[in-house]
Formats: sequence, C-alpha cells, structure tokens
Amino acid sequence: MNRLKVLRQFQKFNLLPTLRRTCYTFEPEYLQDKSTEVDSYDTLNVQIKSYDFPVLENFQKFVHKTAENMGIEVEDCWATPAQKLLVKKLKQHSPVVDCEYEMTVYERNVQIVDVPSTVGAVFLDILHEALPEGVKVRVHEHQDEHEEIRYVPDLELIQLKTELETLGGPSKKKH
Amino acid sequence: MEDIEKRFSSLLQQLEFEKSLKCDHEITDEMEKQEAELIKKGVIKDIDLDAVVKQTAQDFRDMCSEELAKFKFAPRTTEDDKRKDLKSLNRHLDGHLLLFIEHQLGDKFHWIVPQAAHRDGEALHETAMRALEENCGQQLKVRMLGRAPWGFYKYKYPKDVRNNGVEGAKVFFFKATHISGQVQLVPGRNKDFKWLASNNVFDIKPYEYSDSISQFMLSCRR
Repeated sequence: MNRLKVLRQFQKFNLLPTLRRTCYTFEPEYLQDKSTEVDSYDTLNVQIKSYDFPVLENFQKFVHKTAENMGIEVEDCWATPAQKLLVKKLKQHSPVVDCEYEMTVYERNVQIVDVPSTVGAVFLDILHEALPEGVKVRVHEHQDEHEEIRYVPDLELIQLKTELETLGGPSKKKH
Repeated sequence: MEDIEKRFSSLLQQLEFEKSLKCDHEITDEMEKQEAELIKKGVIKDIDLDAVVKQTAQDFRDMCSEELAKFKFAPRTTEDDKRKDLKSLNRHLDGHLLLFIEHQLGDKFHWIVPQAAHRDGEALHETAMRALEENCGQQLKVRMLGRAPWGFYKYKYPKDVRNNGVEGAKVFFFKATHISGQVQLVPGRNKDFKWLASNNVFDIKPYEYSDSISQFMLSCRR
C-alpha cells in the first residue's frame, strides 16, 4: 500500500513512463489455456456391503472423513435395507440339510459430487488400500433406481392400483 | 501394547459391557434358569410338558460351541506362500503384490518396474500401457488408476554412455490394479519377473528407486 502511494506521488510529477508499468499486474498466458482444465465426475455412489455391521459403519465413517479431508464434496450418505440370506449347509453327497444360517448383508452408500478426475484416482486408490476384511466396495454413477430402492413400497396403493386395472381402468381418463 | 494401554482398553471394554443391553438369547437363558431353580425348590408345581421338550437356551449355546469347534477356518497363508513361489498371485492374501521385472538397461540386468522409453507425440499414460504390454504380454489385464503419474525417479547414465547432451533418464511411475491374467515375459530384454510383497519393496536396490515407489504406495512401510 505504501508503494502505491509513493508511485502515485511520482505520477503527479510525471516521471519516466516506464515507472507506470510497475502498477500493472502480470498474468502469464498459460493460465487462460483451456487444456489445463481437469474434467470432473458428476455424482458417484460409493456402495459398501458387508456381513459385519460395526466394521461396515466404521468404514463408512472413514470414507466420509477421507472424502472431506481431500476436499471432495459429500452430498449424501444413506443406508439401504439389509439383504437377508438363508444359507443351508447340506450334508456331503446328499440333499439332507445339516444346518441353516441366517446371514444379513448390510449396505451403506456415500454420495460424492464434482470429483476432479485427478483427485478421483487417488481417492479410489485409498479405498483399495484401506479396505477392511469382509467388506466389498463398488463405486458407480448415480442412477434413479438407486434412489427408488430406498423407498418402502406402499403395498396397499399397489394392490388398489392392480384392482383398478383389472376392473377396466379409471372412469375419467386424462386427455 | 504398553501396560497403561492394556489397562485402559480393558477399562473401556468393561464400560461398554456394563452399558450394553442384553440380547434376546441372554434374556431367555436367564428366565429359563430362574424357572429351573424355582421348579427345584418346588415353588412351581405344574410343569408345562410341551415347553420342557423344546431346546433351552443353554442347549442351543452348547450346540453352537460344538459346531464352532468342528468348523475349520480357511487358511490365511496359501500353499504358494509356504513354497515362496514368487511368480504366483495366490500369495500374501492380506497384503499387496508389486510386479518387478529383471530388465536389461545398458549391458546389465536390473530389477525394475516394467519400463518403456517415451516416444514423441505419445501421452505419458499411453507409454505406461505400452510398457506393460511390451514387457509382460497381452494376457495381463489391468485397470489404470488415472492418467496422471503417481511418482518420479531420475537417474544419471554411467559416464561412458552419456552422449549428445543426454545425461540420464527421468522415470514416471503409473499405478494400475491387476484384474486378470498372468505375466508372459517377452524374451530378449527381460530375464525374469516376480510379484514382490509390498512390505519387501526395499529389497529392490538402489534404495532411491524403491523409496520413490514407496512414496505413492500406502502399503509400503519405511
């Protein structure tokens, strides 16, 4: 600030014209070059699945924290209803059931937005390296069906709709 | 763990246990034990025979612990681990494996990562893919992690090789994860290959080379 005041005083006395150029800022031309801009991914869902609940929750926390630390915007994170599996262990060489197990596959999703492609590669690598045992990771782009799965279907409404269709459609049709 | 760490972790575990709620199994177990005691004392006289026939919580627990004793966990070290077969991928299942090739640089053979000289007009990541294809064959399928280099190493050529102002080489490292396939060495410039466990990356000499690799590998410890 002091230098600018001194320079303005010089300008009043109309000194050498070269002094005026020191007030201007210089920006190198390559900053305007569009080829250095990095593409970014739109919305990505990091889907984590595991049989082990505490490990899964902790890993989701890790993914969220890592994304935030790397400057990636985390838009949303949600839990999808668990998938319940009935595993039947059969005795050797016979269809007789030895024992049954009830397994549940828990799922968590973390949605990240506007990831630059350079950062994305590093983030995916960190997920690779930090993945705990028994946890599966899948990173994919967000689609409508991922949103639809979260909602509980209204069975009454669906039943009424199917009844209406069997009876021959609504009485007043929209044009 | 230090002594103080052990004491603290046991204290935390005890706190967690005391704060936790009882599960259904524990509740039914306690109720059945109370009933059994009362029946012994003679307080409850009419015993529901149907209820007695079914499996009690204690029986269920005994059955489960028997089953656990019979169960065999899958081994963590595979046969290839025991044989120390450096070429197989079925080893070191809880860690990462890095591919190294004994490549001819000049007149000596060195253990390095698959390398190829950059050509004009070619992007760096394309050179990396070409390096892998040329040295390891077409069968190896990998997924490149990004198009930007992950690491860098520069070295000077020995004095008798330096000419035309070329003093040495700069090596850019790219990362890729293995999907399928095995290495099929293209003979000539390559003598041998090995999949090295990432903990042992510092077995590769010179130290500066393996150090620059360990910079971008989270699993390589210094």
